[in-house]
Amino acid sequence: MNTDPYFCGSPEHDISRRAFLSHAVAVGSGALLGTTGAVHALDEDSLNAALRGSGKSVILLWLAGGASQLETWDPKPGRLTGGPFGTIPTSIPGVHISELMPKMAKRMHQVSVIRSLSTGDAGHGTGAEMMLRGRKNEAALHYPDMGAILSKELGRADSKVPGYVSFYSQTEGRGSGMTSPAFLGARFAAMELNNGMMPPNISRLGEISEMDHRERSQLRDMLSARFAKNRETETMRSQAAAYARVHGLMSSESLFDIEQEPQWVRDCYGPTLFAQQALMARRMVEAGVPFVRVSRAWWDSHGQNFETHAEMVPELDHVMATLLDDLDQRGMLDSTLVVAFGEFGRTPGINPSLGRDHFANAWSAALFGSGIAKGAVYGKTDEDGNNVIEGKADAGALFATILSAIGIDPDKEYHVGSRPIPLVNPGVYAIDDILA
Amino acid sequence: MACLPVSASGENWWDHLGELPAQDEKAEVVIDRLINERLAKKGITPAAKTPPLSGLRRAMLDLCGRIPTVAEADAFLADSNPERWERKIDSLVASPEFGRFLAHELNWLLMDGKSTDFQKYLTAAVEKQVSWDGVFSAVISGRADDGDLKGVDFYLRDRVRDLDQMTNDVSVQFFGVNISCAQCHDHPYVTDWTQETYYGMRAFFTRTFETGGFAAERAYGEQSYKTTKGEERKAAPRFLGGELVAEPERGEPGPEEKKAELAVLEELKKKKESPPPPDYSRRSRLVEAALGEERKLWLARSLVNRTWYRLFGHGLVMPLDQMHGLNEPSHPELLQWLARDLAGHNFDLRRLIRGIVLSQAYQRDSRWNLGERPAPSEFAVANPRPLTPLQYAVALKIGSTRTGHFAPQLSPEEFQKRINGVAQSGAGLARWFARPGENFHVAVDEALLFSNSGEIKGQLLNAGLRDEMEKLPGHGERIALAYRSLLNRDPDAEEVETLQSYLAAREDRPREGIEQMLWAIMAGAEARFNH
Repeated sequence: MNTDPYFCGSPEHDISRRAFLSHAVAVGSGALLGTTGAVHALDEDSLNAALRGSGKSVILLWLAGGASQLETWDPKPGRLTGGPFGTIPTSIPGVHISELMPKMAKRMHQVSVIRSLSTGDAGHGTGAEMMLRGRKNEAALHYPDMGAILSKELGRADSKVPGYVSFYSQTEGRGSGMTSPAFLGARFAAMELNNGMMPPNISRLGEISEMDHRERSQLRDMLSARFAKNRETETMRSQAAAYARVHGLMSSESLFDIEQEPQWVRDCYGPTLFAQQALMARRMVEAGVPFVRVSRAWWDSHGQNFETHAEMVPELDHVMATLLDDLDQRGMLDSTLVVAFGEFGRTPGINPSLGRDHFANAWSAALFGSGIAKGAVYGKTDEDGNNVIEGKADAGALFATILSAIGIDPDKEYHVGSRPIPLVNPGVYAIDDILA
Repeated sequence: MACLPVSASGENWWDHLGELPAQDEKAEVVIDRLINERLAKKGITPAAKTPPLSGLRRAMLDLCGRIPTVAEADAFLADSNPERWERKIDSLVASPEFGRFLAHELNWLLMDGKSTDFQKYLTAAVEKQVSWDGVFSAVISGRADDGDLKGVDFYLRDRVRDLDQMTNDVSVQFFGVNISCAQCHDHPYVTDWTQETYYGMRAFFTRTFETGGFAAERAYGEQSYKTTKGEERKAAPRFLGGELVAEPERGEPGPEEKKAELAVLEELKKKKESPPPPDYSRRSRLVEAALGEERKLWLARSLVNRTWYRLFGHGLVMPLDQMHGLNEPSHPELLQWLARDLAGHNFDLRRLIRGIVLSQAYQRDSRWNLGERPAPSEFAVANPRPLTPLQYAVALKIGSTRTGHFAPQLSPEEFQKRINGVAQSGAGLARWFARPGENFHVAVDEALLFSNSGEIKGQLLNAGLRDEMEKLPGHGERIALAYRSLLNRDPDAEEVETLQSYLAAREDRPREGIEQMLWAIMAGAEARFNH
């Protein structure tokens, strides 16, 4: 392969690059990258990685509004539906993707693509709800979303970092990209970062000293423990657990501070919000956060689809490729799964405003990292991209695949009262062909 | 997918009940006899009665949504009448605060707490002592009205775009049965619950449609469904698998007729007026079927069970939405008796709540010192329940207000006005907390908010109670005042000692010491729970 092994490729970073690689060695020996105070503060966690279960994490790149599969993973050059962009060969012989994704083309041998999603719901709200849960909510039973499930399955009860972080700074589709722990309870709810990258109420107010802040908490804990004696319930324990996490989370304050990343690393990712949040996602996963969602909105190109995608796909290409290289160099690809999809794809037919509309019948998703086959292309659409002709996969299959890839049995059951609730609906299976 | 294991028996539990207590007995007497009988059989000695102020705090949170003021607590303690509990409960149940809080709770049951005109309707209905069957009937009729029923149509309007939601919400919220499984397949265990049951219920709503923002109803339209084998079937309306509702044959109207209908609807839309009810209404048939002599026990049992859950933190039947014949209650005769009593007394919710709160079972201590805590379904010991957002916020607000603000010499009107003012400012604070459901967990967000938000400092710590405490001569008095105002009790010796040394260590910054102590109490478990 002629891929530059260095993830950014800019000659300006030669010195930094050596530093970077020496850190990567440290990763190999089991220590966490010591680039920031925040991460140091969490060393205890990293050293106890075995206790954290598998130590696996998932980053979801949520393409809100619905990115076009034709301008990304499943182009149809030369067809009426194909649009103006060409295709390029990839590092998998015989596989072509859109010319808007040259960086990912070089890395396709590390990635799996599903080209045969057929999910049946082309509404923003209902589609997002389904894609984030692997199934539709029922009138009387709402399901936890992917992040809540992974926070429960992968997070540690005494973790100092959040179990689930969701970035959603842009506004498009935010209302319909709703996260919910449903019956799993607030312990597994997302920390929603919709305004800036710093969570609310994580910093101590200036008026109280650090010592008083701690002693006040200890006083609270002591009085509460006396009260709880002989009357403790699970809910009461959850309150104690919530307060017990406060100082850990506050000590991870610098985890949310992108300034803690060396400038050259930030330069590699690039200056856009999506890029910086992807870097934050890597930073969090490194510190043990089990699930991070990074949302990139404004894909909903009912008009001027090609201008939109000409602008946005290269950014997606660059950010995904940078994230892949960064995780790879840090030895984190075996423990981190990255998935990219939104609520649906876009119509092969081009409308009079030169847009593409909502389309859930035949679209694509890309995955790489933990548990995912390297260089697999699964499923096939017809020559215009209107229908899946091979390997049809629905939202449940994608969900089950993600769970399987990080070692969670999709048939595992939760219980709500006496009702067994499997993680995926009965009869839904992972796509084995893209599992490593 | 959500299905449940049930007993192997194919009978409904209500078909093989033991003898019910006489109809004219008092609810509190029946409750205690039946609960204590079962405890005796199991050899469990229930917890002692909770101390008077703890009982008062519990009842006021449950009935009025707030804690007592220091003056109210003192007055209650000073009352030497042996019937002071009954007298207090009677006055609480008759108070406007009770009605407002009950309407608020019912709005959570029916509308997930959404603030709409529906809540105004509920508040007015509770105030006018409208019975629960009356509320049900008005909700299902869904008539847009400018009089007594103003706002009631929001229930259907809110669900008119999703008739499955409407069908299931009505079944769950009013009858305690969740038949949504049977939407896709016959229930695997509850043989009575078939797709026909589900679509029979849905058939009552199938003619409901949205026009101009209203939930209107047609006089025609049929419900059909596909069986799991793919067979297409028609479902006639029937209430929860009961007998078929006989109705006149009604075909689809011709194209001309439909056109005329559409024109009328368009005209009404322009005028923003609600469409008139059809000459034959399936939703009215549902009301009739559900309120029939035996059937209305479904409505009554579900309300009894939800009320019981609200007051005990555990229902007589759990889960609350599985009140079918195979899911036997912990105390079947008690549930049946209370349901009959409720239905026989005009579905009067005040009467039901009063009866429960007067029972010994309600007044037990929440501490259990004798080995393993009995299952919550025994009601042997009080179950600490997390406060709702409104309860917690208002309790903190009242508790952190200067005690003189609620002085005993105020006129009742002035006192009420001040309570309302503080309660209203609590509503803003309530938005920060999550509404507890079954298996509720306190979120770390709440702990972070308490720990670091300027709002907590500004609204609760930097408040009248703190100023009052600062003026007191010694730490002992300060600690006692904080406990009485926020927790409705006196601190014990160990608490006094701990807190005295905490305050003494902050002699150089006494105000901060007081604020930190207040914080530790407000954010603590005791203030967070109804116990």
